[in-house]
This record gives sequence, C-alpha cells and structure tokens, in this order.
Amino acid sequence: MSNGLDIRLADIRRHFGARVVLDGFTAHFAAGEFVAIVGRSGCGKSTLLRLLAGLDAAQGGRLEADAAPLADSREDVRIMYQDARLLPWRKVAENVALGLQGERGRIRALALDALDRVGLADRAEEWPGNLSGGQRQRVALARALVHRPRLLLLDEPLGALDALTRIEMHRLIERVWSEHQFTAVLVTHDVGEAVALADRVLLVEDGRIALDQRVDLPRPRDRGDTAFARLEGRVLHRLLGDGAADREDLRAVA
Amino acid sequence: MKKLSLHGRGVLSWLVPVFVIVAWQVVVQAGWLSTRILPAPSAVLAAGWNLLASGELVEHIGASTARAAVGFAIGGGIGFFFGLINGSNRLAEDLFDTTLQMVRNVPHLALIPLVILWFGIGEEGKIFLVALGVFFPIYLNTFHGIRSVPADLIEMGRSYGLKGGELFREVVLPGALPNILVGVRYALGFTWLTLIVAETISATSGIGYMAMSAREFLQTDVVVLAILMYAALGKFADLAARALERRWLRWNTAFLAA
Repeated sequence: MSNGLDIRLADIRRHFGARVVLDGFTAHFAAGEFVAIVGRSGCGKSTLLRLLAGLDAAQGGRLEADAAPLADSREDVRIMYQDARLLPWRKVAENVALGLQGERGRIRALALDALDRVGLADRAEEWPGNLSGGQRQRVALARALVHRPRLLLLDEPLGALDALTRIEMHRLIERVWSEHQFTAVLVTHDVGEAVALADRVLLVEDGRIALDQRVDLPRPRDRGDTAFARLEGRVLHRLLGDGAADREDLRAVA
Repeated sequence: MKKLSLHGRGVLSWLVPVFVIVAWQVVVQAGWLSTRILPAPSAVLAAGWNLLASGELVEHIGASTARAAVGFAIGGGIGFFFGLINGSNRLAEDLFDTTLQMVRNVPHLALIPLVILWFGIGEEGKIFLVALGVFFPIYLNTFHGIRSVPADLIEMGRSYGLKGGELFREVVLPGALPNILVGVRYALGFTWLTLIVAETISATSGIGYMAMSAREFLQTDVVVLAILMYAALGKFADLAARALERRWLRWNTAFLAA
C-alpha cells in the first residue's frame, strides 16, 4: 500500500494577464507514482508545480488529493526548488529541522536521521555556505523528507548540478522514493532525466498534455539500454515538434 | 625579497605611529613647538593621570557614555521599529517613509539652537540630538536589510509551514542582520560626533565640557586629552560592534574568510 497522495487535476486554468499558461489542464497522478513533466520553457510546467505546492492559486478547476481539496493536505506536500534555498544563517541540521514542531531532542534526531539518509550525517554542523551545490541539494532533499511528505514536488532540482552529481542524485531520489513511497512530480527540461526516473512522462505544450508516455523499464534504469534510448528519442522528437502532429496517434499504449 | 612573518608585519605597521609620537615629544621638548599649541605626549599623559587620580576623568567619561548609551538606545530603538514595519509592510512604507526621508535632509546638528531653546542645557537636549543622529542610519539599514531578504527564502519558509513570528525569527531578521549591523556601526559614529558638538556647546559635565573648561584655563594638555578620549571611545564602540558582527554573522563566508 502506497503512502502517497492520489492527485487529480481537473480543468485547471491559470493565466497571467492576457497570457494563458494553463488552459483546462486535466491529469491524474496515482498514489505513489513518479511522474515527470517535460516541456519547453514557458509551457506551464513550473506554474503547474507551483499550483500543486500551493504557492500560486488557479483561476479555475479543481485540485484534489485523495478525493479532498489539495489545500487540506498542505502538510503532506513538500517542494524541492531549483536552488537549494537553505538558510545560510542556520547550520545544516537546523535547516533540515526547519518547520518541525515538537521537543528539541526529537526534532534533532529526526533531522540527523534524514541527513543520514542522504549521506550527509557528518556535515550536520556545517554552514550551508561551506557545502558544494550537490550537497546543498541533498540537504534540501533531507529537509523535504523529514516531513514525511506524501507528495514531493521537484522543480528542476538538479538543473544546476554537473553531470556526475546529477546521476548520483538520480539514484538517491529513486532510492528515497522507493523507500518512502510518496507520489513524486518532477518538472525538468531534461528528457533523459525524466525517462530515468519517472513511471510516466507527461509532455506539456501550450498548457495541455501533448504526450502521456508510460515508462515501463525496470529500475534502476540503464541509460545505455536501447529501450531507454528509444523512449527518450520518442519524447524528444515530440518535444522538438518533428513527426506527426496528431496527439491521439502519439499517445503511447501502456 | 624576503617575506615578513605575520608578527613582523604587525610590528612594521606600528613603526610610523611610534615614530610620530617620539618626534612630537622631541619637537616639543626641544622648544621648537610651543606647549600652548601642542603639549608633549608626556604632558597629555600626565594630565590624564592627574584627572584620573582626582576621579574627574571617570566622571566625565561616565557622563558622556551614559548620554551616548541612552541616546543610542532611544534613537536606535525607534529607527529599528520604523525600519521593521516600513520594510515589511507597504502600507506603513507609503505612510511614513516619505516623511522620514524629508526629515533626514535636515542636518540634525543644525537643530542645536532650537534644541537649546526647547530643553535648555540639560541632559534631554543632548540625548535628543544623539537619538536623532542615530535614528537614520539604523532606520535606513534596517529597512534596506528587510527588503533585501531574498523572496525565495521567504517563499521557502512559508511552504515549510513558517508563519508570522517564526518566519520573522528564522528568515527575515537573520537575513536583514548584516545590513542592520552596518547601520549600528554608522550610528555609533554619529553618536560620538553628535556628543562632541553637543557637549562643547552646552554642558555641565562630560568630555566635551571638560575640553571647553580646559580651553578657558589654557590647559591645552587637557584639551588634547579630551580629543583622544573621544577617539578612544569611538574606537571602543566600533570594536564592540565588530565583535557583534563576528558573533552573529559567523555563517557569512565573507566573515569566515576575513
């Protein structure tokens, strides 16, 4: 039984002035599913994530979690940003413990445990300023995990990292996802990353789902694998706009 | 060229000041410079010792320090308060900031005649002037500090469930602190500057008063001593502020590197 939230988005609308970003966006993320959302810049994928995080409000439509309004589940939703957004004036362990309520000793134990999960238990007393970019993102991941989220939102969290660190982070995210069994929504512009991590890759274009591609490759996934490459190629082709235009034709059969 | 050790460099940097003092002593002792214009360092030292022994020096320093502290606390407190509310609330900014910026353009020392009319030469007038001088650096830097806290971090704090007082304590205040402390250092400079002027014009105690009464009796050594006292107190206040910065801004890599 999955610990994740079952998310339904129905007919979501969001426009900024005259610019329509999301126009009747509808999707379903099953509990415990890992969904990646890819698309060109400005396609609405980040807006979608901000709506899910409650950082922005839709102008129409419904966001539901387990058949109740998503807004009731704020405590179960955590987000990892593009930049780690650690408080530079708090030690690593204090950053992880941010927003936890309760007795000091218990909070600290939880924070150290979360740091241990991301392999940074020995850096608990450092200032964030002394960590590398990859380490900072791992701390940010620990900070999200410590709240036992049932929906984890990932807003291009690895965009600024070097290739090797990214692959390490992929493994780490995959591991904690399979351990904690939360629902994960990853926004990324890297199709390879999406195919490596997700159960489903959604390609968003003009505020709608243009392609819903299931990824049934066994984990951990091998990027050198031909099936991997074929899937990555398919999404990429669609993203770049070559190939047939009809959406229904391209909807992959699971 | 051989590099000097850290110790060697420390010694080197004191070479010029020591030379100047020795030269000053020699020039005065040799009679090339009238003691009326500048007494010898030894004479200043002796005057300091005498005043210390009579308890007068401690009394004057105490009076000046008390004025500085009270004025700083009042002006700094009000400046901090307005910086906080104007920095975090647009309505408050619209309501108060323009007025405060207009008042800022009045040099506070220009108010001295008015202040004497209002308060006479009592303590209130001097404390009022110090508070006024301290207000603006604290206000401006607190305001700017709060505004410069990254919106990203505030959003992050909110999405991690921080609200109101907690958000302020964890994110806003620490983020504004580097700027606030810059304001504190400026304000300390203004404190002593204001006191120097205010005490030389109207006072019955304090270092400025000591200097002015010494001038009437042509005690140049005491006048020089008073000037040095102001310098020492200013330096001491600045060191205290830097110590606060070191302690509160340890996280700042710029401070780690320094």
